[in-house]
Amino acid sequence: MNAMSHTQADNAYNFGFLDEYAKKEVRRAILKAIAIPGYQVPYASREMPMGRGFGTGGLQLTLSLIGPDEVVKVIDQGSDDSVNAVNLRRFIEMTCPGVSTTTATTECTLIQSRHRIPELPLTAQQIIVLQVPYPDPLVVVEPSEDKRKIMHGEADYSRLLVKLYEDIVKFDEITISHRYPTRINGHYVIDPSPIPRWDVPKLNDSAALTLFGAGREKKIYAVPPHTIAEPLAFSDVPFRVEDFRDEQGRRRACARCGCVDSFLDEFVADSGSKTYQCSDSDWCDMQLQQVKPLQGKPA
Amino acid sequence: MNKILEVRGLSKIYGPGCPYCVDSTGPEADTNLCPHCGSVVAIHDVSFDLFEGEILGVMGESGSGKSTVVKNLYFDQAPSSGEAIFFDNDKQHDLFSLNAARQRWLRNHRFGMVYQNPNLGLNFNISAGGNIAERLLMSDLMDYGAIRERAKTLLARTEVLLSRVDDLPKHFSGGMQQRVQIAKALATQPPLLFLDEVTTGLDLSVQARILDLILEIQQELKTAMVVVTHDLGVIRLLTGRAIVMKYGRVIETGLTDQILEDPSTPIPSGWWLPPCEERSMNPPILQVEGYGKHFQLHEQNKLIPSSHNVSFTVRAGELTALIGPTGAGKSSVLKGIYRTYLPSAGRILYRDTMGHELDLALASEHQILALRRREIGFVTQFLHCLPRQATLDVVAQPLLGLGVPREEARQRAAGLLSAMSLPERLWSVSPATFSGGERQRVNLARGFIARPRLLLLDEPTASLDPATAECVIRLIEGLKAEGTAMLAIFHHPETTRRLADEVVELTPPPAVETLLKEIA
Repeated sequence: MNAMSHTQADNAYNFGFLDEYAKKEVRRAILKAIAIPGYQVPYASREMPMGRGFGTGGLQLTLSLIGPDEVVKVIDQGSDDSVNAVNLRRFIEMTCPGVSTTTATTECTLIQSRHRIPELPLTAQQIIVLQVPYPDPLVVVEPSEDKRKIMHGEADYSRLLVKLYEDIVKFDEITISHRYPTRINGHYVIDPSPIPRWDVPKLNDSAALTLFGAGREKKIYAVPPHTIAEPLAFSDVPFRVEDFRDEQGRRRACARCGCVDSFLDEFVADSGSKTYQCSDSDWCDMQLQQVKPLQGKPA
Repeated sequence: MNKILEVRGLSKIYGPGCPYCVDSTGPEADTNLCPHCGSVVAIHDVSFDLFEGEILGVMGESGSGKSTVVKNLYFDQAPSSGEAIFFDNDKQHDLFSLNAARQRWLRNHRFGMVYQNPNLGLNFNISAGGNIAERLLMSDLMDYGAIRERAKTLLARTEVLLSRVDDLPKHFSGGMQQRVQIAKALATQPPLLFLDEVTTGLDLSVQARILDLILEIQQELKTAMVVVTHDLGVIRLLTGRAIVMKYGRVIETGLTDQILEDPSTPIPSGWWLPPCEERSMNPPILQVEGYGKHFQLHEQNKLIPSSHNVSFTVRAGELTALIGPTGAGKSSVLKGIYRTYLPSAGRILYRDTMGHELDLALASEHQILALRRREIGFVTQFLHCLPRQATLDVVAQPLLGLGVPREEARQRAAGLLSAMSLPERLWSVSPATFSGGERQRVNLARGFIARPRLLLLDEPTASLDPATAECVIRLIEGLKAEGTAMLAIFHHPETTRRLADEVVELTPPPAVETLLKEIA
C-alpha cells in the first residue's frame, strides 16, 4: 500500500480524514479480524474530533474503508436523522470530498450504525460498521483482561453461561435485551454491540460483512459474510427475539406504516397511552411508499 | 489395580533458595526455614503413588506442607522441582511439563478440588445451583433442564436442602458451604479428587455424614482421592494408605492403621478427658433470653429462620458451649451477641464492668463499638485481616485500639505468639501467606490479646492439629482461670466436654410457616 500523502491543495487533510499510516494500521486490524471471526483485534484507536463514546471506533473503521465513489448511510438507533447520525454524516461529507450520502438502505455501500442493523437484508456489496461501547462479553464475569483473553482463547464461556442459567432461575427466561452474547464460527463469543436481540439472527449467514469498532476500548472485530453466528442459549431454552404481541396476543403494528414484522419503538404519551413505530426509519418510509400507491388506486 | 497418579521428588521452596536449603531444614533440623537464605522449604522430595479408586491420606501438623502438595498437583502453584504423571485411561500426562492450557483443561475436566476455605472453591455471588452448573457447562452440557436436575441430585447427595438450591452460598452456614463445594467438585465425576481439610470446621454429626458420603462416592464412582487432614479420626476412617509429613518431608508412609498403631516416628496425638469441676456461683455476665434470628432475602422475598428461642447464661470464669447440628444457628447466636446480626427476637443482657445491665439487642452502635473495643472479643472461623500487614501488627491491632503504645503492643503480641508456638521468623510476614492452621493461631492470638471480659469463640480449634489445639486449649483454660467469660462452639465433643462448664444444645429452627403461625 502506498503510504504517501495524498493531500490536495484545497484540503488540509488526506482523503478520509485519517493519514495513510493510520488507515493502513486500521485496515490491517480489519483484515486480521476477518481472518479470525469474532476475535477482538487490538488497534491504536486515534483521537477523533469528537468525544469517545460518540462512535469514534466505528468512524475510524468507516474512514479507513471509504473511497471517493462510496455511498454512505449513517444510522443512530435505526433513525437517519437523529443528532448523532446527522453530525457523523456531515463530518463524513466535509472530510471526504466526492462521497455521497444517503438514507436509503438499498442505495448505500457502506453503513455506519449505532444499535441497529437495517431491517432490509443487506447484500454482498454492502459493509456495515457497528459502533461498540463494550467489546468484551466476558467483562461482566471476569474483571482481569489477561484472564479474559485466556478464556476467549480456550473458548471457555462457562461463567457467561452461568449468568444465563441464573437468569432463567430468577426470571424464567433470559433477560438480556441488548448485547446478547453470540458465538461466531463456533469459537469466539462476541458482544454484538448494543443491537437488540431482534437483530442478532441477521448476523448469521449475512451476505454483507459486519465490522465492529470500539474506540475507547481500542478493539476491532468482525463477522465475515456467510459465517455462523449463534446466540448463546440452552438446548431446551432456545434463543428468542423480542415479542411484540399485545395483551390479546396480536402482533402490534407500526402506527405510521402498519408494518407487522419490524422492530418497534415504544412511545409513551403524557396520558400514559403507548404507541408503536418502526425503529428503522428508512424501512418505515419504504413500507409507506408501498402502501400509498395501493391506497391511491380507484376501487 | 491401575495407577492413576505417580508423584516423584516433588519440591517447593518459597523464596530465593540456596545450596544449603535442603540440608539445613527438615525434621532433624527442626525447622523448614533455611537459616542461610531465609527461604521456606515447604515440601521437599515428596513421592507417592495413587491407584484407581483409592483414598490416600496426607497428614501432619499445620505448616508441614500438606496443602502445598495438593496445591501443586492441582496447579494452584508451580513446584520448584519434581514430576507427577497422571494416567487418564490409556493416556499419560506429565503434569508439570504440560502447557498452561492443558493444565487448565485437566483441572476443569479431570480433577476436582475441595478447599479448606469454601471461599476459594465457590463463587459466593452466584447461587449454589449456579456454582455446580458452571462445572457442567464447562464440559459442554448445554441442556438447562438436565443441568438443573443434575445440580439438584448432587446437592441432595450432599444433603443440602433442595429448597435452597437457588440461594447464594454466602447465606449458607459453614458446613453447608463445604457440602456445596463437594457437590461442585463432583459435578463432572472427575477420576481424581483432592480434599484439603474438608471436614474441618464442621460439627461432628455432619462430619460423619460427609465422610460417609466421600466413602460412598469412592465406592460408587471409583474416584481416586488425596485427602489432606490433621484429623487422625478422618484419616483412619477414610484412608487405606497414608503419608505423614513434617517440615515438608515425608517422614512416614504405609498402611494407615499401621502408622497410627505402630508408628516409627512419634505422632502428636491426644484428646483426654478431665474430670468435670464443680461450678461456682457468681452473677452472670451475659444472659440471653428467647433469642431468635431470621434472615430476610430481599430479592426473593423469602424468610429464612436461623435461630429460634435460645436462652442461656454465661458467667465470669466459665465457658458455655453451644452444640447442635449444622444449621441449628450456633454461629448465628454468636454473631447476634456481637451484633454482626441484629437479633430478630429476645433479649441479650450484658453486665459491664460497672455492673450496669445493657440489652445488646437494643444498644446503640456507639455502645456496641465501645464494648467490642474494651470488653467483648470475637474469634471467627476464618481470619479476616488486611493483606500485607505483618502478623505482629495484625495481632497487636486490638491493643492499639485501646490506646496501648505500639512498642508495648508489639511486645505483648510477640509474647502471645511465642506461647502459641508460631515461629518467630513468620512474625514479620503477612498471615495471607500462612497455612490454615498458622492463620487460625494468628486469629486466636488477636482475639485473646486484649483480654476481653467476654470472649466469643467460633470453632477456634477446628483447623488446628492436635498439638496446636492442645496449646490453644491451655490458653483458653488460662483465660478462664483469669476470669474471662466465654461462649464457644467446638466441633469436637471432647473439647466441649473438657472445657465447657455449661452446655447449651440448639435445635434447628422450625419452618417459616410455624413461626408465622406463632406470631399470628
